[in-house]
Amino acid sequence: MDDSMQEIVDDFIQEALELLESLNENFIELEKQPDNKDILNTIFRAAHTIKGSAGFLGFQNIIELAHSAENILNKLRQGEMVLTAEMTDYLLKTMDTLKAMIITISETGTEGNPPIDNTKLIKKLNEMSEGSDIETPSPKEESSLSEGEGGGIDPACSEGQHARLADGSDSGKKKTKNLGDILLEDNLISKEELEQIYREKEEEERGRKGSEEKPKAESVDIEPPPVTKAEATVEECRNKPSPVSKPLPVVPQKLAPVHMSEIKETTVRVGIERLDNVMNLVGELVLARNRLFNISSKLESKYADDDLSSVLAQVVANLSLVTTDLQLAVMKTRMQPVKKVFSKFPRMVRDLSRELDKDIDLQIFGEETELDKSVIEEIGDPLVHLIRNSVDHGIEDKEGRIKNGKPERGTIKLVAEHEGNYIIISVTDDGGGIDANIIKRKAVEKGVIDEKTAISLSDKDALNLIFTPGFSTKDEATEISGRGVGMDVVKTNIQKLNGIIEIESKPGRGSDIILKLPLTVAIIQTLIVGVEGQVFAIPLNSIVETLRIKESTIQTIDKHEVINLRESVLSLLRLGNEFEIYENADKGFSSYTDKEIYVVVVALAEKKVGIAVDNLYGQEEVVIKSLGDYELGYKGISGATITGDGKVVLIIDVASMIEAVKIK
Amino acid sequence: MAIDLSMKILIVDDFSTMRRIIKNILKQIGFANIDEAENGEIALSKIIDGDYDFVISDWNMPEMSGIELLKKVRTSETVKDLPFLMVTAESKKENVIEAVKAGVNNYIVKPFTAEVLQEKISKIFPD
Repeated sequence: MDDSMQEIVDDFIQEALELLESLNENFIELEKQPDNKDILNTIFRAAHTIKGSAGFLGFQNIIELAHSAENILNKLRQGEMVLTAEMTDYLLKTMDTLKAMIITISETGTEGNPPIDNTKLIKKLNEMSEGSDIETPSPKEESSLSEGEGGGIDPACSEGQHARLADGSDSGKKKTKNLGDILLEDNLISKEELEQIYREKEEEERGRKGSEEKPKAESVDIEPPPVTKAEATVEECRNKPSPVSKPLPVVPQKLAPVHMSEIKETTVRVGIERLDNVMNLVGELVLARNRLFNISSKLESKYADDDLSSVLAQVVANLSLVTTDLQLAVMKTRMQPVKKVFSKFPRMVRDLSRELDKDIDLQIFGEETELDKSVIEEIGDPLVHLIRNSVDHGIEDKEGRIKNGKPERGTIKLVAEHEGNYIIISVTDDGGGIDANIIKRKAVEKGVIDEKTAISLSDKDALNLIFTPGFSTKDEATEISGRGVGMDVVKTNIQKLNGIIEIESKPGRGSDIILKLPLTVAIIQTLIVGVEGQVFAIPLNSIVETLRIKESTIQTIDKHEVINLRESVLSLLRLGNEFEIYENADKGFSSYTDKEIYVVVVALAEKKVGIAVDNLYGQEEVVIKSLGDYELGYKGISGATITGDGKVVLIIDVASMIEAVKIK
Repeated sequence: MAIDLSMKILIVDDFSTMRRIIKNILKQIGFANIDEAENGEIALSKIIDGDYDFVISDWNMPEMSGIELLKKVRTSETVKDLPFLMVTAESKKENVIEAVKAGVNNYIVKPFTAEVLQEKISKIFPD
């Protein structure tokens, strides 16, 4: 496969997947209004388009399946059949299978074998589009007029013909033939038939003014004309003035006038790697700007009397402004509407509620809200989990709802909105809610907390227990919410994005889960800390608090350093030891003095650790730079950045820090 | 068959993959001056401003179909004679008749090869 072919296949993969993805909501809408022709048309066209391009690329499996779907959709859109829930199920399955096939192509480069149940699916689709009328799924096998192409040209006749048959209206320009001429020339239509078609056309045009009686096109018999012999044709060509030789009837005034409007293509598709590159460069620029800012302010204080330094400060301030704007502008180019993720949920909720025999209305608001592409890619799984939870555990079954005096139909709201530099996504259901007391009891049973803690725990804190690893309130994990992946994973994923997750719930009234996500992951707020002169950055969003303690208050349990933080034990991790900065590696254990040190308390999914450092330097916005291929041996670093004073600073990976403590 | 390879051609299709495929095939034949439009509206404004010699349009498009686009072109004073090749997935009789009535110059059934496309084009432009 040469490069241009590969590019086309890549294009096909992307475009077809986008198209299929967009169909989900069409199907959901279609279930509400099963005879909406517009929606049926859209879905039909999608199958049609995919089949068409697959035909060129030789993806036979896709052609066959898309063809079967196209058949049934065609009947539906022409009102020959009525959509049933079963058909929707199979059509959805078809779209999924097509998607899977395309993904296979993108992964392996070839189509490979069709999925196992493909034949069954095709058979079922064909059965549904009426058992009697099964078309064989070959795109070439159309009862068509085109078959005679290339074979039936009569050179003797065609020469004579196009002299006269060519559109006579523009004698000055190049002569062109129209379809009527060509069909005639290829003996695919007789002159009489063509004449009749043109007569009909004129009648139709006249009819458009007055009578609504339209002659039916199908009434024309368009079998190959009886005259096929060369002589006869030539004879006809020469002797009789061809009725088609008159200029094509043109209908100027009746159709809408052509708009001279200036509609140009307004979008450009750009590869994501290009945007990533631009984003990277802007990151570099931001770093340089910070550095320049730093130098300029130092110069200004050093040479306060010098005009030049204040001019420099102005220039730097201006540059700083432009850089910030540029950074925002570039970020915007990477923004995508959350619709990209949200659009798959109506389908998911539909399937789940059918499975569970619940009646659930998923309401989506703010799907046009935009987020950085990298964030969009990461929030899909957590949201799937949250919505599944709402469907499975949140919304009660129909009887349960009626008993509780609620409408039979449950509601889940999925809302996205902006709040400053954050986007808030919330999943709200009007289901049974979460009872803090049950959570506490479970937590005690599972040994997550002890009885005493349980009693003193506020309801809000109790709810947060569901983010503890391995916590599941249903005794039996169901097939839908699954086992193993719990809310702790959701929380970890959100925190990896530097986001925050909160839960509110009222027993009997429903739950509300709120995600607060930064617009981008490339730039974060950090706390700059120092150990033995080395500087590190800790992401601010995972920091709970900072403490100043005397080293002598550190206790040792099992060779682990801990401190007592408001009656609870907090494991301590010395950054100096962790990164082997201390000259004397045992320093932490041997020399407890009255020296004061700082402890940065970080938390991830209810796991807290204190990180001991020597200095706190303050807060700084940093651009994360990946460390690329450097093998670090230790996983405690998530990236690096350059601070305003020009130092390269490593950014601490809180998740692996906490992991490190657990292992010890 | 000498087709004028310097013709300025406009490809109209809502699916960008299809536009690329057709463009690729046209390049194989030897055409170089090729432009694209992603829907009928854009195509129409391009046609009116663009001095094209030939249009290859998909039949089945949302909003404005290929036939609707053609009808608008045929009613324009300046570009009404622009040669039009319609790309379609089926060649049922009633469709062909509709195409004849609309003033299509020729049609071609998907999928097609460079040879077939070349032949279809050369029929529109006899020597």
